[in-house]
Amino acid sequence: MSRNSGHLITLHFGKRVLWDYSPELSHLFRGFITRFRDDGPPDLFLSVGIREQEGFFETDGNSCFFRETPAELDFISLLSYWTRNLLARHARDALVLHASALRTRRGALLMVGPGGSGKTTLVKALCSEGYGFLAEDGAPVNLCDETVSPAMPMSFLPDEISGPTRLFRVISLTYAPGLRISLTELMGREAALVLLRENFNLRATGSRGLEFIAKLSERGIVSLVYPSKEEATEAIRKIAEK
Amino acid sequence: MRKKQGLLAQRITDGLIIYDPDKDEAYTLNETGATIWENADLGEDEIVRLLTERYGIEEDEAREDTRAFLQELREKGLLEDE
Repeated sequence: MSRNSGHLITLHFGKRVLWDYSPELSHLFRGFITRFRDDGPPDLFLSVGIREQEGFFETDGNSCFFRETPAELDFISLLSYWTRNLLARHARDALVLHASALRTRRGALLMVGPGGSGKTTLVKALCSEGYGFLAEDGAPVNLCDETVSPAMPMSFLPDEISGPTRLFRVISLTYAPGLRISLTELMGREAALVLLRENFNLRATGSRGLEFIAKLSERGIVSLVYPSKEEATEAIRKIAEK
Repeated sequence: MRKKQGLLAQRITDGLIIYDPDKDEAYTLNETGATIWENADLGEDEIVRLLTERYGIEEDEAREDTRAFLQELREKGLLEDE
């Protein structure tokens, strides 16, 4: 039997997003209602509900469903993550890369890669060494001036969050235990493939986003294949300070 | 045949990126693929002529490659029959 009940309350989130959610979850939304109420017309409709299915949490980009009423902390954490991803998908003025970002002496250094490639681990490690925090899992690069805007961290709270910083370098991460560390320059199509795969919002940014990916690909990105956190941080430090 | 409406394409030094916003899918083509794509509207004979001229490929080989690649582009929905 489906427990995906009808929607009880709608919630405006910012100016453009409208949430619908099921009654079982209403207590978890109280904080959002008072903090994000906005009467402007929405142009995105998101649904949150409970539905019997395999996974604990499922999303298709416009809706998310829990299998059971989640604990409050799990819920807030997943919803924050999902909301951030969803908003990133609709951003039009910045290309949001699936990346962590650091502020270095030479500018913003982005570490792109799929889940499990070490984005969070490495940004945490390097922030503890004095690099500025910019983003953990989604890094917005402004299409007008190539600055990387700071973005909400998801799984840790850095001591300080840096201000917008001009993009300096993109590193593509591959965690490969057992292999020797290697640094390779990717250019053209090889770089484009990484950037096309690791972004949230090419659809929303359209031709400007594609032009930007082409520009970054021509400039080249670094591919870092690494077997351990220590070796990776050392290699990244060298890139940042070179 | 003609290119699907609404596709975005961007040249890079070693080829071309094509993005299909409807499917949210992107493709990268090498230099030969880019030539075939950019001249798809001109038809097979013209593409074969361009490939033999630009890359010094034998005509039979160029025709075989062109047919196979145009078919692949059709299957991906990037080219449509007029």
